[in-house]
This record gives sequence, structure tokens and C-alpha cells, in this order.
Amino acid sequence: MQIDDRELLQQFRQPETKERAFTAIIKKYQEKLYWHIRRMVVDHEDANDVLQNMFIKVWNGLENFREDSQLYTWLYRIATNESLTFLEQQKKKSTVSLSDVETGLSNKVVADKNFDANRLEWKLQLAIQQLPEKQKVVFNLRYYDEMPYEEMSRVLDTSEGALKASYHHAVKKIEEFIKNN
Amino acid sequence: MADNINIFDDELKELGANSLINASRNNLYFLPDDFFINLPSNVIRQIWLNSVPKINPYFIPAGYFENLSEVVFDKIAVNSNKLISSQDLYSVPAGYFNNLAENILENIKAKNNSVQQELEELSPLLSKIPKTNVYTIPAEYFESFIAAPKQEVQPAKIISIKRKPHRWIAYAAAACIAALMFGGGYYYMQDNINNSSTSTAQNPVVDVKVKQAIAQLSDAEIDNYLNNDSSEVYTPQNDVEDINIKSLLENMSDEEIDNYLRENSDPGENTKGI
Repeated sequence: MQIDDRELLQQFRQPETKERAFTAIIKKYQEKLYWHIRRMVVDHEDANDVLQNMFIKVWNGLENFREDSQLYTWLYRIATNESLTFLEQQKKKSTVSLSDVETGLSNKVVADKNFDANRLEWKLQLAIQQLPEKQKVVFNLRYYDEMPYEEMSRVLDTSEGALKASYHHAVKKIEEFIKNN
Repeated sequence: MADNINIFDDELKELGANSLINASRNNLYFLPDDFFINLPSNVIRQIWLNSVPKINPYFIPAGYFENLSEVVFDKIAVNSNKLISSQDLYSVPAGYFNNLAENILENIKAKNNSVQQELEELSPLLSKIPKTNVYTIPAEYFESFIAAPKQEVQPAKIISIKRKPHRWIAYAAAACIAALMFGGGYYYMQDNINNSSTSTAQNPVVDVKVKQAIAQLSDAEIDNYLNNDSSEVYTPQNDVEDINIKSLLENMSDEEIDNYLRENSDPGENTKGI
């Protein structure tokens, strides 16, 4: 039985139960957060690194969490920022343009051992990697996590209207890519 | 006592009540035990009770008894109307509570289906693609996931998802600065090299002395010297070059020297950065 988030936060703030509460938070949210990151960075090892860094930041910052939003909203926000930071660092390391980074992510999709160009699901993954970073985040949160726009606006600190527009554009781009490929 | 009874018997005879003369005169009525013994104290107690003023110490609201009957009738009316009034005011659809749980679940599904409906409106093609997870993870990844050792890190920098100015502006500025520095350093070095090449022409006295010294040497001595010792050749020109190079290096920055070395080094030569 999963413990309520409020109770987890209370336990985290007690020295004798801090580590146990942190472990419970990881076990409760690790899968959702992992897949959110993985869809951004594609590669498992990269996703693992980002997830580790993300939870380190949670450990350091959870004590000061003001609870003005849901815990998982706050976790999603950190995961999104860490993923985008990782992609920014990839850009700087390779000293290439953004489009080349996107090509790099597409190459990682193609390099997956299970990749099948004839399957629509894999074409969808390739299409997603063509999107700009922000659109990719919005699309993934809406399409895979089915996150309401209201909640998404708290995660991304963007208006609902802008998110809806971004999602609609993303869907159209993906559809066009799949039709042309 | 016997005389008194006779008197009364005579009286009864005169009255013709002969049956009463023979009736038992015993007291047939019951009397509690100790009645007469307790009688005095009982009488005194009663006398005392009668002497206590009959004042009611309890308080009641004003008009209590005047309104009591109305209050009682109101309560009777309320109790008799309780079951009837709720049924009259509100009505509940038939089977409402029986279907309530099912209705709530349907509403929840409807909210979730709004994402699917939205997708169907935007892109029927995309809505038909199964949301299969195509990526794989190592076996027991989540079971064995352990966060890295907890390190104290700086607070996460939140990257604003807003458009940033293009980087080419920064690259162009850096390239201009580098070109200015290299050009200035190269020009300065060229200037000093040109000056050093004319140094001998500016020292004719030194040149004459060398020629005189060489003229005094025999051919064998010159040959012997050239074959055996070519390590150090002292010439005033070298001194001048050394001095110029030293002063040049003092006035040049490390970056200018590095750029000059890169420009003038042969391919493959290992030029160490300064």
C-alpha cells in the first residue's frame, strides 16, 4: 500500500525516518519519471544518469519544498529541467547545431536493437525526436502521461493556452512526418 | 369499669338492643407496632413541617406556563411531520443510489478519454497508433535502482524554455577579438624582426674588428675550428637578436606567443602551450 505524499514529506523531515521516506518516494515515482526522461533522451544509460541526478536534487531540495504544489508536479518539473539541461550539455559538447543534436537522437532511436522502421510505433518515436525540445516535452506529457493542461502549466510554468497550441502543432508535425515517411 | 359497663347494658336494654349487650367489645382494627411509642415524635415533626414557609426555590422562565401548551402542541406537530416533509421537498431519481458508483466511474473515464478525444479530433491517424512502449530497459532495473551517493550539489538551474538569441553573435564577437589580438601580435613581431635584420648595418665598427681577427688566423686554424667546435659562435648580431627577442617576449602576452608559434610551426612539430 502506497503512503500518502504528505506523510512521506513529514517522515522525510524527521532525521530517523528521512532515508526510509526518500526510498519510498523513489519507489513510488521512479517508473513514471524514468519514462518521462527516457522519451526525452532516448538512450537508457543517459536516462539513468539524468534520473540519478534528478533524485540527488530531490534529496537536497525536498526539505525546503513549500508544498504549494503536488509533490509529483514538483518531481516532474525537476525531471523535465534535468532532461533539458542534459540535452543542452550534449549540444555544447558536440559543438554542433540543434538540428544535428536532433539527428543524433533520431540515430539513437534507429540504433535501438528492437527498431523496426515498418512499425508505426517506431515511426512515431522518430517523429517525436524531430520536435523542438519544448514541444517534445508538451507532447510526451499529454500523449503518454495524459496530463491535464492545468497540471502541465504548473510543471512547465507556461500558460494553458500556449500548451494547447504547442500540443496541437506537435501533433500536426508528427502526423505530417509519419505520412511523408 | 364493670359499673360503667352495667350502666351501658341497662341503657341498651331500655333501647331494646339486647343483641348488642352480648357482642364482643374487643378492638378489631389493626394498629402498627410502636404506634403510640412513635406518636409524639411524629406529631412534633408534623408540627415543624407545617411551620416551614412554603417558598419555591426553583426558577422558571417568565411566561413558562402560559406558553407551555403552545410549545407542547408545536412539538407534537413537528414529530408527526418529520417523515413527511423531506419526502415532499426533495425528490431523488429512481435508482439514483444504486447507480451512483457506476456514474462516478464513468465520469472519471470520460475525463481520461478527453485526451483521446482531443487526439482523434486533431489527428485520426495518430489516434490509431497503439501507445506501445517500444523502448526496453535492463532486467530488474527498477528493483535495483539506487540513487547515486547523496552529494551536495548546487541548486538546479532552471532553464527557461524561451527563445534565446542565436549563438552566432557570440561566436562572431569572439572571432573578431581573436583576429585583433593575433594581427596586433603578428605585426609587432614582424616589425621587431625587420629591425633586428638591419642591426649589423648599424654597427660597422664591430664588423671591421671581426674581419681583422679572422685575417690573423691561419687556414689550418680556421679549418680546425670549423671541424671541431661549432657549438657557440659569438657575434654581436646574436647579442642584438637575443636582446630584441627578450624585450619582445616581455612585451607580448602568452596568447600572442601561442598564436605566433602555431602560425610558424612545421606540421607535426610539438609546440607546447606557454
